[in-house]
Amino acid sequence: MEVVPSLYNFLERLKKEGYDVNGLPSRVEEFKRQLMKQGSVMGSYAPAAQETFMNESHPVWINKNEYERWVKDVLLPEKYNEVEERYGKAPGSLLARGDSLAVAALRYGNILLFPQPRPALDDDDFRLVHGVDVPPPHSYIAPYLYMQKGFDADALIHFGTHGNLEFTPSKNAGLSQADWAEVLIGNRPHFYFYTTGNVGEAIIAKRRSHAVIVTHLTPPYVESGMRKKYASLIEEIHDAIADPSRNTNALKNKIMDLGLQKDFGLDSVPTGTYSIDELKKIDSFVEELANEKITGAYYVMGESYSPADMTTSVLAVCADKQAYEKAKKDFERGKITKEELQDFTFIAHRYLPMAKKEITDCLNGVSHSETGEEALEYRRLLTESAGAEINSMVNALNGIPVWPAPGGDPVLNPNVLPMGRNMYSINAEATPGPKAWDDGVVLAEQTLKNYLSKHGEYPRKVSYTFWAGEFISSQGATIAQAMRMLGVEPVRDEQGRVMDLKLTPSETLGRPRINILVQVSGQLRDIAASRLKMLTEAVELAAGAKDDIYPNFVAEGTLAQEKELVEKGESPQRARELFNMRVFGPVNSGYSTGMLRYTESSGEWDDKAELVDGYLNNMCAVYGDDDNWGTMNKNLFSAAISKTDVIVQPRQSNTWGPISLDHVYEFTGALSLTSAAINGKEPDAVLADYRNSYLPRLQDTREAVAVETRATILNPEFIRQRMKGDATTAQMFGEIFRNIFGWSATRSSALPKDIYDDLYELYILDKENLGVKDYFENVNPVAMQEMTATMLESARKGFWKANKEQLLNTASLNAQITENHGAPCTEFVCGNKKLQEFIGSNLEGKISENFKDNMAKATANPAGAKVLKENSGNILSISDSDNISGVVIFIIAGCLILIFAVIVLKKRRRR
Amino acid sequence: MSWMLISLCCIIFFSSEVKMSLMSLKISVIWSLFFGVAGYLATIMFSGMSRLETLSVLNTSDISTLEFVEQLIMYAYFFSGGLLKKILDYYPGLMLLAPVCVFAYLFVGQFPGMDFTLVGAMVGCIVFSLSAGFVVLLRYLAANLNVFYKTVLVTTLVNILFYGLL
Repeated sequence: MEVVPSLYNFLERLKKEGYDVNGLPSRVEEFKRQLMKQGSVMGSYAPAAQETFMNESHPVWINKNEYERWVKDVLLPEKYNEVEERYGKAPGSLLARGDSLAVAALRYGNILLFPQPRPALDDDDFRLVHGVDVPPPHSYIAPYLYMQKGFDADALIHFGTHGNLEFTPSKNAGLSQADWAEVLIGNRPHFYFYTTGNVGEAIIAKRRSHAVIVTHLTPPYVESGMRKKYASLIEEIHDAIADPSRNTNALKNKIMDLGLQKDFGLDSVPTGTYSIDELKKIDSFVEELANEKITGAYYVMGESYSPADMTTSVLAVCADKQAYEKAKKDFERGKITKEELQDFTFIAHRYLPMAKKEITDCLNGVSHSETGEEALEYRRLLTESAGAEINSMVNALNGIPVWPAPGGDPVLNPNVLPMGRNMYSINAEATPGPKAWDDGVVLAEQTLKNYLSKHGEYPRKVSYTFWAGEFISSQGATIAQAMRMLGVEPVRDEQGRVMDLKLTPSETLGRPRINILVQVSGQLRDIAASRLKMLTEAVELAAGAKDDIYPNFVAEGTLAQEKELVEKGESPQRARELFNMRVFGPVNSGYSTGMLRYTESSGEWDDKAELVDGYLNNMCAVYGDDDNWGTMNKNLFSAAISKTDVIVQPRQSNTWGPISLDHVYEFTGALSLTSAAINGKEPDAVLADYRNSYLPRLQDTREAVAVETRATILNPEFIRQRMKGDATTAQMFGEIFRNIFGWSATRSSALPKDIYDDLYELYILDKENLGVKDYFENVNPVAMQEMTATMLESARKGFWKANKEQLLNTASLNAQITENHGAPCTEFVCGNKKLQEFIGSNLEGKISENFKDNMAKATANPAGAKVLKENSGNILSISDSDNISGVVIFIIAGCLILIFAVIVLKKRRRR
Repeated sequence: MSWMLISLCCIIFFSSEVKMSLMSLKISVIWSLFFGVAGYLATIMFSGMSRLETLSVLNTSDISTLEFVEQLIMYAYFFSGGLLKKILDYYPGLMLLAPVCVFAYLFVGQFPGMDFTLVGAMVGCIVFSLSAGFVVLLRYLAANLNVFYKTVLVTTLVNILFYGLL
């Protein structure tokens, strides 16, 4: 959601409803200026910036005595002791002066706006957003207490997806006064505007902060412009496939001009031709690009999609479905084969254009059909949604219930329309549902087939990432995949619940039982604990399978895991208790891997081994059975990762991809990096793509990244669309750049070759004349500062082999923005001294000095981020060789003594 | 697992076996059975302990000290008479438990997936067979008090040496 105009529209509506919104500017631009100035979120890394904020941004000042009085009223003494023990006495060190604490806030009549503060400081920064098991600092508690006691609010609204209150230390359900979210909200109603696309995390907000969710639309789906760009190439490839005599060198050069060969590792020799198989691959890839559903500028709440965006969004919802239904009818009539029905490229060529035309004609009133009726209905619902969100929130404030609705990507589940409703989850006990089971089986078998054809053998272990959103949207297809790998099937009771498991006989399975590892997000753990325990039972069942006619890699893996645990210092009995454990997740009841901050605090790590260590520390909690629920065991996690051959990441939404969502590199990238460090080879990584419910399929991560980068961040049309957006949309570019950096740090092989050079040409040189610099200069200069800083950090780390000119131009742009707008001061830049020095060293003369001065002013006495590290402790590492040498010594010594004894006694006898 | 601990255990084992070979066959078999059971129990006990914890129990320095005390008892056996000597006639040296424990330690964790009771039984049987087998062998080789005396002397010297090294 584009926050500023959405918030402005909402406030305007409140004004019309009779709320006192006195002082609200008459223009959104002025409102944005006020918000930017007075609504900053400060971290401990920029004390000078804090000082400026306190002097110039008119914060609300709360006296220590008053604050402590509120604390006494609201918090349990032991909870406040935790705060004092960690951060010292109030007012603390952040945004504090003398005996008072500054709270960033804007007040318009009876409306108080405050930016959600950072829920942790310094060492805990790494786990800020998705939970950290430490109490929040004074600077976090104060605004909420002010809202309750000072401002005496009647209701609280969290505006946009997603905040951090629901991730503060707390129980997962049934909150009490000892849980932070409970006490910080107090006894007032809590409403939450949340994107319909993120149902997984919305459920956490409901469970852990009593939120009433009010859904809002995703950004509109827009034309990627890729079909136009590649139209003639697609034609030529089709001709060449149909008639090999037309497979010419000119075609090869055309492919190379577009740089497509780099995405497949094909040769770049300008002579010769590509084989027909290679052309088929490129055809499929280009078709994928042409059909990629990309989202435009962020959605502004209360404003309907533009007519063009509406059409493309309705097409996104309806066209695939229509195309597949037509293909299915043709299959039933025997006009096409089963293979063709399951061939995405075939459907896209033959049926999709027809379906799109039919729908568009209907939307334009040119013709009328049953298909069109459905499209018109979706258009109505999408149009209604723009007003329904704010209406629903106003109603909620008036005590009128918010109606329930499912959640998810509207393209995949149009039942989420219209918006303005309260999302609900699914019954975890009924998962995997029958369709989910079928999808899971298809994808699991496809994973094995692909691996077998690529490597000539079955994988021994396949790792899965389970997320709540994907679990809910796919009704547990992710879990079904893992069960199928093990060769275990669900047994349903009369109500359709999966309460038991059974082994799939080896002869039916027709292949080895494959070992698994599962990493889960905290959200999934909270909503599907019973499924995780069931998965452990499935491992136990598969490991104990008797009389298999194929190898049992689960049993082998189980024994290997036990052995490795004993070698790493676990007692044999404990190792036996843990040898079936395959499900791991965030420690301390946290929610994420913590690897985002960790990776992006790149000034603090030099070697990727530090990232591996961090990942193992942060994700080593076992979620397998009641006895070991949440137990942290780094050795076990490391043993479970070993011998991983494939990593599977689910994808169930068109609103994100491996480049646009940081959590993908955080989970899949970090696991890949760790697996490579443990096993000495990088595992395959694939996305289990459920976006097309008719044809779930697997896609190599590298291909998925290539499609997304070409369709979005490197696509001028996408950039143009997004440049229609405001500050939040601009910030998205910075996030994507950081995600690319994250992939570089964790699994660089997933990125297209030369991606940084391509980014440099588009964003620094602006070779497409998109007006990129002006856009960022006007809308969000901080985003461009971050983008250039990320590129420079990539160069500093060796991820981007930039030449001197590239470095100079990028550093100059960064310095220029810093000169014009001051130091950002985002953590990526201000928390990284080495990067600042690197930028300075790539600038010339006075510009360099000015840049250093600007940074020094902002970061005087920075606290700096620190890397989360575990004390390596006193675990004794005993390897195989130690045991062997012990046995050998024992035997040799025994023999020597025996020989000695025999000699002595023989001598005695002779005497 | 250090070479010193292994060597020390071998010497203790030999010393105790010589002592057992001086007893009647029935008694020595009973003692072998006792040590076999001890091997079983040690395996079960060590299954619940990490290697670090087990190694802290099997401390070379402590074993060396205790074995030295044991050797003093053996000297008492040589130079005493009457009831004490009669009692010590049936005493094989309980420090034989040290090599039995080390032996159990070497087996624990080496058979992933196998029932710990089964591993313990395996260790017990091997300890019993080794002990009884050595007794038979030493009796066959006509080990006597003189050999035992020399063995005790060597064991004492090794203990002193190891203790000094530690």
